[in-house]
Amino acid sequence: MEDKDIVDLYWQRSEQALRETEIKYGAYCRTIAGRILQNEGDTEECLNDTWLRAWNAMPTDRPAFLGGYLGKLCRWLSLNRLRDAARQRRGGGETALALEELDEMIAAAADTEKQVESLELSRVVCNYVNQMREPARSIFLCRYWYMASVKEIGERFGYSESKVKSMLARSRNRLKEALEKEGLL
Amino acid sequence: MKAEDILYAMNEVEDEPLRRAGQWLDGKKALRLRPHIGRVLLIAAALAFALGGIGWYVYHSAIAARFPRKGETLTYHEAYYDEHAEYEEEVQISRAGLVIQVDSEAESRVCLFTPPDVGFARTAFMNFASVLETGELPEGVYTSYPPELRVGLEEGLRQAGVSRTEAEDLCFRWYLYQEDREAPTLMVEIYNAYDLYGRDLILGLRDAEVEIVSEPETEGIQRLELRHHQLLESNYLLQFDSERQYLLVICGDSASYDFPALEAFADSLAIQQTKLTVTARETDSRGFKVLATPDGWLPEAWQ
Repeated sequence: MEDKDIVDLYWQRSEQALRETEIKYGAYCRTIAGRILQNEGDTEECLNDTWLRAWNAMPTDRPAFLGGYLGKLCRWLSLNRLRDAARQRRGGGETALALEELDEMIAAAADTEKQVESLELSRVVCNYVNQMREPARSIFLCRYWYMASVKEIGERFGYSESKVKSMLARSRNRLKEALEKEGLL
Repeated sequence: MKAEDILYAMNEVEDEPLRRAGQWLDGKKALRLRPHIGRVLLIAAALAFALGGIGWYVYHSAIAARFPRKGETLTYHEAYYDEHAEYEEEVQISRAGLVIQVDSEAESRVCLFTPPDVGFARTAFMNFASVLETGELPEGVYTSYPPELRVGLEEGLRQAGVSRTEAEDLCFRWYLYQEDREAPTLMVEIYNAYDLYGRDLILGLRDAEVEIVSEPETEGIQRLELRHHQLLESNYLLQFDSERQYLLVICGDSASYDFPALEAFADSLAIQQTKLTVTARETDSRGFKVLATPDGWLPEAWQ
């Protein structure tokens, strides 16, 4: 089914939309979440969260490329879940909760500034990615968007691991220069 | 700023780069090496094709320059140009009206060619080929093409106002070539012009004959021409080898053929001094006739 038809189903509030989404983009999103979370249970939960978010967002959203839309949603949720899990691992218990409460207080104070910085960071990173050349861009995205391993990237692109590492290092350095130029580093 | 902030920031990357990268990971795009090899193969194939085309063009251009005829069959070219091929003594008559006679032992070759759509020419050649097939070829090597013949012909046609293309359509040429100049030379060139082709063409051909004759004296060749009106009436030219006393005439339209006039004409020429006996035999109702000396190279049955 075409993306447009699936989105139409979402807008019609038809549960068929979820089934079609699972059929067409289930594996895609599962891969994204799985690479980030490295845990089957968390991956499935994240996937369900993704479908729920999509269900709630459409309408009003009407994405042209549903795969990209769901992938970003899934990735964002996966990163959130990973971040939360990392916090849990750092301490847990009452100490961790106390720290979180204090963090929230500080975060609330700096919230506006952080949002502005986040937007600016997104802009710089997107501009940088847009001006990259292939295949360096695809390799960069495979690594830092899809979280693919260097080995897997090398196999897919027909490069040695050392070459992939070298290309990624160059890409990171250029991103660093771009961030420094914009005063973000 | 933390590293994870960059990961989050990358979530805003546009769809198209993501889709492209995703295709790599899904294996929907081939390995980079494969298209590279494919491109190499493609370029190699394209180069081979281009070189082949250029070679073909040059090859055929060269042939066209040497033989100002179009539409000749490849078989002809191959047969003519392949000097290393093993030829048998046989007459090959192609569908295009081409006749090739090869004497492999003597390394001699006679090439006769004609436009494929000239019915009379084809008939005449086939008849003559049957003579060659049953008879003996003269000694000598008949492989080379005297460029001056063609130049002379073209010049004559030009003077007559006949374009090269028209000439190709209107006349056929017949060459017996000799490569070994030491051996007795027999060179025959016949331009058959039909009445319907008109006076100008025949005049042009005659002019060409004049030009050609100016050179080959050193080779023992003397070209004899009929007078203008005879040429018009009989559509024939003849070639005389003064050393070997050969006179060969091939005539066109039998309706206008005047054998007594030809005999008289031959008697009046230089060959008269050697008491050349000219015999003739009509083989084709449409007018193919051959005259030769008694010691000539035509078969016994013809004399």
